[in-house]
Amino acid sequence: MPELVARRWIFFFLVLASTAAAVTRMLGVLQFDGLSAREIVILVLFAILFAWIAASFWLTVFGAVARFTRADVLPLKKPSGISAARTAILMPVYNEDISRVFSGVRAIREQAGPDFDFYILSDSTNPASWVAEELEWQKLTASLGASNVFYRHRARNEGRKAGNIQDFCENWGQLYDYMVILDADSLMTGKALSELVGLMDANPRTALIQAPPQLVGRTSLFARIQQFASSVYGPIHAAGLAWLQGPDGNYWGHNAIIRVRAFMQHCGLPRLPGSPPFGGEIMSHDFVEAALLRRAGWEIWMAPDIGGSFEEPPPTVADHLLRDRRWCQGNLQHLRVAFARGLALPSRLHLALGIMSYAASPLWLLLLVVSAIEMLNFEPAPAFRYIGLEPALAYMLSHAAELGTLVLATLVLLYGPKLLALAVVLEDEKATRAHGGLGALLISVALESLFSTLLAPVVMLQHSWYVLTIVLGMASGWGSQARDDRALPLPYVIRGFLAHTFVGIAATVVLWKTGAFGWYVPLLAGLWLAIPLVYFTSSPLLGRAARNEGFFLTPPETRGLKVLDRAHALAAAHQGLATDARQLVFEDASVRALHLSLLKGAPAPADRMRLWALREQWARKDTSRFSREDWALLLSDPESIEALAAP
Amino acid sequence: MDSDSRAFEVPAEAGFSPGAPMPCRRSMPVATLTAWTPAAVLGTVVSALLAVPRALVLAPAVIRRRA
Repeated sequence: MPELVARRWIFFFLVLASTAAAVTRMLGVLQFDGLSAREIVILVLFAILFAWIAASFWLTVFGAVARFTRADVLPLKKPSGISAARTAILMPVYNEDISRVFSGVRAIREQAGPDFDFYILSDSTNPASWVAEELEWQKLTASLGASNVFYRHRARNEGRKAGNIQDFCENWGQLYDYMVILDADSLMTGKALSELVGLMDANPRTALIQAPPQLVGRTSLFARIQQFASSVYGPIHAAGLAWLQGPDGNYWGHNAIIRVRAFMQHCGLPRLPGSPPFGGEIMSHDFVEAALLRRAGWEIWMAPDIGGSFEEPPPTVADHLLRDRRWCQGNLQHLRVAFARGLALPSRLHLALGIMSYAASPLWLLLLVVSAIEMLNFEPAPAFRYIGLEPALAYMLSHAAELGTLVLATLVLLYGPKLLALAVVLEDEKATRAHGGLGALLISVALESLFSTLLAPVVMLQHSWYVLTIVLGMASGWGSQARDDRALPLPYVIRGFLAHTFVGIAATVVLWKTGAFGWYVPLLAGLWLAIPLVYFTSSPLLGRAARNEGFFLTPPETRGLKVLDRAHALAAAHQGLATDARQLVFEDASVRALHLSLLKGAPAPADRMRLWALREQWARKDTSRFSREDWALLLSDPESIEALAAP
Repeated sequence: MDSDSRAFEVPAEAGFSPGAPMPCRRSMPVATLTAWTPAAVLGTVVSALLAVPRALVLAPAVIRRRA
C-alpha cells in the first residue's frame, strides 16, 4: 500500500516540521540570556505537548482532505450476496439499568431480524439486578417469540468485560463466525450490522472492523454538547484516523464486529505480573486485543462511513470524569504492554497515544507551573549600567512577536480542527440543516468551543490527580457507570470541585503580580467557574431548553433515528418490579422455577459453611443484615433456594 | 417418519441452562505478552547504545577483514 505509506510519512513530516518550527521560536525566546535548567524543562515539555496537539491537528486536516476529496477511507472489497455466516451479538452487562439494556436489545433485534443470535452476558454482582435481568429476559423472549435471544449469568466476574467475552468464546464461540460486541448503552441499526457482516465475508484477512459510535440519546446540557461535538467534529477525526491507519486499526471495546476464530486464537489475555494498578488483569483490554490480532497478521479496519453505530455519553461532567478515572488507569497500564515483543509499530503508537491522552495533563500542568515560576523569578535588565565609569543604556529586547506567533500557532492547532469540521458540515447543505441550520450551527460551535475551553483546565487538574494517584499505586475499581440524566445536587458538585476552584484562586493570587497574568486568564477562568460549570451543565432542563432554542442539534434528533426512538419508547414504557427481586425467588414459584432452570450447569458455591450460617439466619428471619454477597451466595445455590422457598 | 424427525431434535441434557445453547467448549490459549519492566527498558537502551557504535565502527572492520 504505497499510498498509505506516503500518507503516513507526510503526516509525520508535518507533525515534526510544525513542532520543530515552534520549538525553534521558543528556543529563540528562552536562550537570549543563556538556557537555565528551568528553561530547558520548559523547552522539553513544550516540544512534547506541541507535538501532541500538532498530531491531533494534522490528523483532522487529513480527515478534512479525505472528506473534501471523497477519498475511500475503507478500501475493502464490498459485500456481495447474502451472507451465510453465523453472527452473535453480545451485550456484556454489569449491574446496569435493566430497562436500558433490554430496550436496547429489543430495538436492535427488531431491526436486525432473526438472523443474528443475541447474548446478554451478565456479570451483575447485585443479586436484585441478576434476578430482574432473568425476568426481563423471559419477558423479552416471550414477547418476541424468539428462541435465539440468550441470557447467561456468571457468579464471579473474573477478568471483567474481557473475561466475560472470553467466557462466551470458550463456551459458544465455535458456533459463530463473527461476534458483534456492544456496550450496555450501545445501539446499532440492522443495516449497519448486515453491512459489517458482508464486509467480513468479503475480506477474509480482516479480523475486526470498528464502527465508530456517534454519541446520541441523552438530554442534559453537558451530554447534548458532547453529542453535538461528536456529530460535528467526530466524522473528520474518524476519517483522518481511518485514512492514516489503514489495516493497522484499533479496537474501542464495543460497536465492532470480530472474527471469532482469530479472536479465540490470539486474544486470550494474560495477567500482568505484579499487583494493580500496573499489574494484574489488563483493564483496557480492547487496545491490547487489537495489538495481538495485528501481531498475528490479521487486519483491523475502521469504518467511519458505515453509520448506524451509536452510544450514549455520560450525562454529567462528574460522570465523565469518573469514567476517565478507570480509563486513565487502564491506559497507563499499557505502559507495560507498549514495549511487548513482536507488536506492530502502529499498535505501539495506538497504545502510546492512549497513554498520552492522560499523561498530557500532568505535563501541561508542569509546564504551566514551571513557566509561572520562571516568570516570578524574572529580573528585568536595569535601565542602564556602567561600563567602566561610563553609563550605558540597556539594550531592551522584546519577544512579544515570537510569543504572539507561538500563541497564535497554538490557537490554530487547538481550534483549527473545529473550524475544519465546521467547513465539512457547511459544505453539505443537508448536514447543515440537520444541525439546526447555519445560524444555530455557528452559535452551537462557538458555545461548544467556549465550554470546552472552560472545561479543559478542570479536566487537566483532574487527570493530573488521577495520574498521580495511579503512579502512587492507588488502584480504582471498574464499577458500572451512571448513565441516567439527572441534575447533580449542588452540595455534591461543591464537594467534588471546590478543590479546583481553590487552585484557580490560589494561582490567581500568585500570578497577579507577574506581568503575564492576562495570559493565564483563559485557563484560570475555567477553574474559577468549575462549580457552576459542572452544576448547570448537568441540568436536563437546560439541555431541553437548548434543544428548544435549536442549539446543539444533531441529525438523529432532527431527522429521527428509528432504533433510538424505539429504544427510548420501550425504556419509557418499561415497568420495573414493585417488589424486591431477590425475595421473589423464594416467594414466587414461577420466578423460582425460572431462576433454578437458569442456574443449571453453573457450579454450586463452594462455601457450604457460610451457606449453612445464612440458612440459619434466614430461619430466624434475620435477613436484614445480609450483604450483597450473602444474597448472591444464597441465590447461587439451588439446594438452599429449594430449602428456603415459601411453601 | 417419526424416527426421521427425531434425528433432528436438539439433544436435551438436563445439566444445561435453557438460557443459552449447549456449550461447545474450547479454551482460548493465553497470548504471550512480555510485559515491560524498568530493567527490560534499561537493558534495551544499553544494548541499543552498544549496538549502534558497534554497527557503525566494527562493521567496516569486519568487511575489511573479509576482503
